[in-house]
Amino acid sequence: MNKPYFTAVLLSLALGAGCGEYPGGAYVQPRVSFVAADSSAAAADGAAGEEAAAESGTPGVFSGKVVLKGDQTALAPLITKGADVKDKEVCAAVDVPDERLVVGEGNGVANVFVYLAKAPKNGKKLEVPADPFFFDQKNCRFLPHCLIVPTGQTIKVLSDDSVAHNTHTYPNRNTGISSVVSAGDRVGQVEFVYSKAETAPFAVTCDFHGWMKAYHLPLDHPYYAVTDANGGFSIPELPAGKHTFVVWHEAADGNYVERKLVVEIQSGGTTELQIDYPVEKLKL
Amino acid sequence: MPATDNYRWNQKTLNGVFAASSLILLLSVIVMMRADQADEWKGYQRTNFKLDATVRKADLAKIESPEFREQRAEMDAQVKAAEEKLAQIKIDQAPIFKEQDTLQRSVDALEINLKFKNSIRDQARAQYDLAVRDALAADLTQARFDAFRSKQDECDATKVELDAAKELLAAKNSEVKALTSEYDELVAAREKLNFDAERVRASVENIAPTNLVSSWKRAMMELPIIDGFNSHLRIVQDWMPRLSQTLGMAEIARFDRCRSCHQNIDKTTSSGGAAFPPGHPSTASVEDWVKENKFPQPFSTHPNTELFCTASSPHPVAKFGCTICHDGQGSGTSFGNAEHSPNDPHLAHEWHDEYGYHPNHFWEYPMQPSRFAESTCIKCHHSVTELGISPKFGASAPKVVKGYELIQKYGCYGCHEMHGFDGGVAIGPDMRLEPQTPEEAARIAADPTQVAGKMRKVGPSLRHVAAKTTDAFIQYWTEDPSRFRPSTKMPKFFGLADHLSEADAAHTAKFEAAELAGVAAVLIGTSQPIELLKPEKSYVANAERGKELFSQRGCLACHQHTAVPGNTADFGPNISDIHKKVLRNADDDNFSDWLYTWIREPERHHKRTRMPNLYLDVYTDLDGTTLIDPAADITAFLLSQGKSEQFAVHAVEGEELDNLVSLYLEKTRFSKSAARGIIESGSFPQKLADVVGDEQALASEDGAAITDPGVWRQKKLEYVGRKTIARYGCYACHDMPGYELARPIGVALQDWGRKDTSKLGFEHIEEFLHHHGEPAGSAFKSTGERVVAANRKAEAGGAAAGVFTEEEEASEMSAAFFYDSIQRHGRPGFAWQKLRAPRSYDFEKTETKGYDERLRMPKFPLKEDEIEAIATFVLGMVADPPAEEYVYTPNERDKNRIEGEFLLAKYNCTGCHVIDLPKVTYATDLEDVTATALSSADHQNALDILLKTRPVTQALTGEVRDFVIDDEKKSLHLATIRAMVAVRPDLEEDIVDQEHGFDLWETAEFGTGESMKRLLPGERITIPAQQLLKYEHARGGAFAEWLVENLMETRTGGNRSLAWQQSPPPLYQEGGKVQTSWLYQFLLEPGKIRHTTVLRMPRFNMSEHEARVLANYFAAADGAEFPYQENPATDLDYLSMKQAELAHAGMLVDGQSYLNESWKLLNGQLCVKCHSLGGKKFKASDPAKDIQGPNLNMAQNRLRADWVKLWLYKPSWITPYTSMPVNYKNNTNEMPDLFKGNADAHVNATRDALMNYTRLLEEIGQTTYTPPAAPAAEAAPPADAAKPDNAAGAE
Repeated sequence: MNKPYFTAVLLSLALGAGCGEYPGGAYVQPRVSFVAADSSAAAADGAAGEEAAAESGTPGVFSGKVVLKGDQTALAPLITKGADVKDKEVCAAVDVPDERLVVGEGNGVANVFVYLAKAPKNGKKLEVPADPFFFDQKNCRFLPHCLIVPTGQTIKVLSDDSVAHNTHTYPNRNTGISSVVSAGDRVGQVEFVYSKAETAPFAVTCDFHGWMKAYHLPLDHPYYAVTDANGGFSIPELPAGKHTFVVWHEAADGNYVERKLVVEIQSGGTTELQIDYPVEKLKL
Repeated sequence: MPATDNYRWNQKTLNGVFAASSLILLLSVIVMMRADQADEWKGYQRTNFKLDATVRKADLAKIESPEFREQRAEMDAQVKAAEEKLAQIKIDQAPIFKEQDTLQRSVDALEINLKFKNSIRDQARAQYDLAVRDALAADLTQARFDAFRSKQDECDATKVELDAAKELLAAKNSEVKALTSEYDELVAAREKLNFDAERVRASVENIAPTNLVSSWKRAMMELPIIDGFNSHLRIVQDWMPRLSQTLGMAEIARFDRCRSCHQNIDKTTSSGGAAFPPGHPSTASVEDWVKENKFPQPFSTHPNTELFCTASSPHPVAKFGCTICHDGQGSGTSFGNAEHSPNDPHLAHEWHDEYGYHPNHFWEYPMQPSRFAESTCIKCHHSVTELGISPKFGASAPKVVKGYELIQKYGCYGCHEMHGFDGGVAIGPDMRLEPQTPEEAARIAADPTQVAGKMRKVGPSLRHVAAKTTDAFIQYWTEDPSRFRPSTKMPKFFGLADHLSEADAAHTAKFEAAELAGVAAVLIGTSQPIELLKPEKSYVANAERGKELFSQRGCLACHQHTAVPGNTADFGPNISDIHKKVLRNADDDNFSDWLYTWIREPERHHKRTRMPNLYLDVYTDLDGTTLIDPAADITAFLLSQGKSEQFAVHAVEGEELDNLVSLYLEKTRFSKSAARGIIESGSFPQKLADVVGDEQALASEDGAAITDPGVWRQKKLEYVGRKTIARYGCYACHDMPGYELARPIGVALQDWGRKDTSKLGFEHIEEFLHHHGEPAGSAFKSTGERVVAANRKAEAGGAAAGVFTEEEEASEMSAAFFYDSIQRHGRPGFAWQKLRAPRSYDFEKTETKGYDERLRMPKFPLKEDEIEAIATFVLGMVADPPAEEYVYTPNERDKNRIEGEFLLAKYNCTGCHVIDLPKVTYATDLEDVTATALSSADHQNALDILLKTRPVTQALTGEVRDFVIDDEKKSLHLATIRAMVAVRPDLEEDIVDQEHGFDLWETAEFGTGESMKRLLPGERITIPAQQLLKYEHARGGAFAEWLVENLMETRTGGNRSLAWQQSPPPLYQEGGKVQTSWLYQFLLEPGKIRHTTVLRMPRFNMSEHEARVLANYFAAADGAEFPYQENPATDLDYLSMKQAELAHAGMLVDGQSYLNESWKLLNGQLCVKCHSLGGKKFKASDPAKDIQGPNLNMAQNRLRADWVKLWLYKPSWITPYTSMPVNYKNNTNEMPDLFKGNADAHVNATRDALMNYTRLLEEIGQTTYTPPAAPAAEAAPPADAAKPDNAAGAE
């Protein structure tokens, strides 16, 4: 392991390369208090996989942290500054990080999607913002890398690069788009809406620059989060009772860290949980 | 004595004789009339009238529904009320009615008066005319004229009076009408309401009168003699003077009376379906038939009325009659006379009881039993292909097509020529081998009365067999091919001994051992040298990589291999065991140069092979340094599956070899002793140069005796081998040196369907089948026993009673039918047994035959249903085409389509390519269907082109079904779309949550009119698993679909779109995409198009004619222009028009040239991102991940102008999985210095630059264009200071 290099990557992550640093749709202010919770115990509780009818009571908060268990060296940048790639004057102007695995403080894994598989029956309604969401790209990198968006919200694609990009989405339930994004488009001429909720995040790529990749997940309920730079997440106002969460990460083998994570949300309080992500599960 | 009446005869006796004879005469007339009245057809017609009346009454009942009755009663009441009201009005307003009456009377009186006066006036005019004629004196003439005048005046006066009266009457009438209008209107409305009902009631009354007089009249019309005067019971006759038939020796016009009984055969409902669907109703009452909507023969409608009988079908009964297709006796008007044929012996038995049926040997062509109903189609449909696939009618005759395909598969035509031409005139399907030498091809081409065959030999070439395998394997294989490869097509020639006695079988086996060794000796001995290719000396073949290449480079489109499971291709042999037989290099047991050569360049081994050249050229790996020789790797993989095998062969007994040699020598010109002399001395009496024929094998060059026993034995083996090859006709399937001009050895089959049955050698087959005939392990000792059991089970009720399964019933009753046919010496039975056990006709015949006279037909690995399909085809081969106008003659488009279909099968194009998309039928809630909306980036022009050039289909089937979804009952509409699998259901989810995702590939409309919702191609359609009702696989492309799944696992990380980009592309609507001239060249010499694919289009050994037909096929099938297309974008008039138009619109300024600006655009920032163009190479960042589009220099010759435009507008409308993005969005104003940034103009200009590519590259050359820097936009801040609003996305 090249130690100085590793440190440099960590540094660059800390300085704002991580997905969570971007104040976009995936951004959740970390309000995590570290608890030594055993996620398997919580999961075993609901081993039957049946979601109990949520009890009536004051809604609670589900917060926690996704922690990588085991050693994993940081990934080298996808593109190093000055590399001889297509449109190198823009794309290789800075290092383009490999965001498949971004690990922050305390081995917290960023860019993990934590969301309810299905909208709870007594949950609050999804509020669809009237304003568009701006999905951006700079130095041949999508910003944000991970995005959860309410169904029905317009997404406008921006580009801060002086070269053309192409945004190609691969949803499962929605019709995908594939369109050129003009160089330096700060208006968002390419716009689209996900009308249906998806069951899992899907890739968004640029066919011009093969390494560019982001993940989108449209949902029809408000109970979701993407972990921040240090792996933290918090989902507020959950109806009290048992819920089944999905924990999804792009680098996990089969993509699911936890496919059916049953958590009982306490009435009016904060239910905290550390979600373990064993390094053996990684498929890089 | 004068003669009296009693002189000669006794008057009394005479009276008695007369009385008796007149009585007998009367009685016979009565009997005749009675018989005539009892004609079967009359009974059917009477029943049919009853049926017809019942149907109409049912129709009437449907019209007169309770709601209708209610409505009518209400209307009756209204009319009645109005009537009463009117009566009151008539009292109240009596003067008006009275005045009207008076006026009417006066008008009537005046009209009569005027008529009288007019006639008096006419008489006066005639008097005057006579005076003029007779030239009477002027005064007299004048007097008559005056008389006429005065009468005319009187008429005029009366006319005036009448007109005035009429006017008064009209005024009064309208006054009255105003009073009666309510009543009048109600009466009219009631009539209208009753119209349909009354019409049907009248038609019922017509055929089943209720009124006494009418029914008496109708009964009278059925009486003898009277029924000759336009009775409703009458023979219905179809007369086809041009569709002649041969009766005995005479050729006469065809007339069919079948419709006398089958009265409803062409009747359809108003929506086009069968009016009387065939079936077996539960009772004999016509009322029940109508209730059950099932009608027995002869009252039912013909199946598939779209295709048959109706006036709008291609075979209207009035033009074609019945017997041209069904055979039988058209003039017959009874069940027996019509020569119906039962489908199996059990049905014959039932018919016997019901109709007194018995087979009639004297009618040459009885009706075809239903199992052979399709066989007559090929009388007119000589190409056969159209019977299997037709855009309008689908598979109209699948069984006869199956027979045709089996004959192609097994290459029956190698031995049995089926000549479809007689002096250049088509007489039936043509199945013959193609000319085997260039000389033969040239000779046929020069002769206008000859047409060359087009079939290839089905077996592999043996020309260089010594390089491929060993003598031992040839013997082992030939003895029993399926022992080595169970799925082989090669039939079994040896060891067919079921019909032989034990001793005979043992002796035959010894002869056969000598024959097998002989055949191998000839093949190895005459095998020609071949220059084999070798991989680079230093190359180390990698078997593991070979497996991947084997999987991905297209081998599996035709072959199966157990090491790569999941594939079902069977166009080529299953090559799992190829390592056992292939000859390996002498110096390297792990490699075979022959196999390497065969894989890399198959045509080197055989010029006419069906194995294509896959372009397995050496290439450099992604790392840029490692050389990969795919053919060597694949060879290594195939050989790595095991060791080569030593095949055991039978020892040849010298004595039996000598006996065989002697037998054949005696057949030529040698006496027994001379033959023995040759064998013992090793000396053939002639020098090699003087010998013709197979005896050459025995002769020596100088005529000297051959003393070396080993050499002499080898010579004898070769002699026997050559005799064996000639006897069995091995060259029918294999290309073999020295046999290029050998003729087929079997009976020609083009008229076998009419072959005189007395010429069929049934021999002792009945005896054989009585005791034998079933394979070892069968439940029955003999075929006879099997058939007895089958008939017994049928007697017990068959499948309907659960005695049989449906399949068993079909197969066992089929056997019973053919067995019965053999008993009657019929053609079907003969063919059946000939294919089941060809040598069985030698049963107890071998004792009296020479060994070389025994039957030679081999046993093919056919199942009984396949045999029946082949019999159906062969029985239809009658070489008796009807008049020209009846023979199916497709138009140019259909001709290309049909011939192209033949080639698609011949070259297995459908192995790789999806030709027609999968069809998905599902249930949908119309409210949830969201029509595709055009976004602001889309172009209306694009939609116009899409709708104009590509098919639009109605998705809704019209059917509605009930479903329970989320515990709620819902009525959903069924829809069928053409779509490709995009997302497979997640099996870990509950079944209720599982969903299928499909990408729509066509424009589908849901509904019609204003409520129509249109979904455009590329739309993702998500279907809950429980609402997916039917998935019909794509036509073709099984390998592509397999490869996509394979690539998703191995290369694309589960991305199906990328996997498709790497696989053989579907050819849906290909005709509208490519130019036929390009496709023609491409088929002959396929160049590399796509950089994304893991394999390339291989080169087939296709003739120029075939390439032309196939190129035309796609255009013909897709309704595109062919054979040639204009390329409007290169037209100078078009370009100057474009120049003027854009200059006028201000999009070209300061003398800018349209093409120059277009060239700039093409060379701009967009296209070059993914394509090499204009002298600039595609820049790859990561060759493994980057997507490189096809080189754009190809577009001008390859693509059609309209297609390119649509592609540029919206690629996903054509290919949903493509990586080509929308480049020119309608809502942008990019590159404003080019055509004012107009996106629509950009699309057009890019297309035109592509279409004028060579010209522009020559005239302008390399261009680099960079758009002027865009002014800084203010709408959104730069990326690293994005708006906080975006947080809305997260919370």
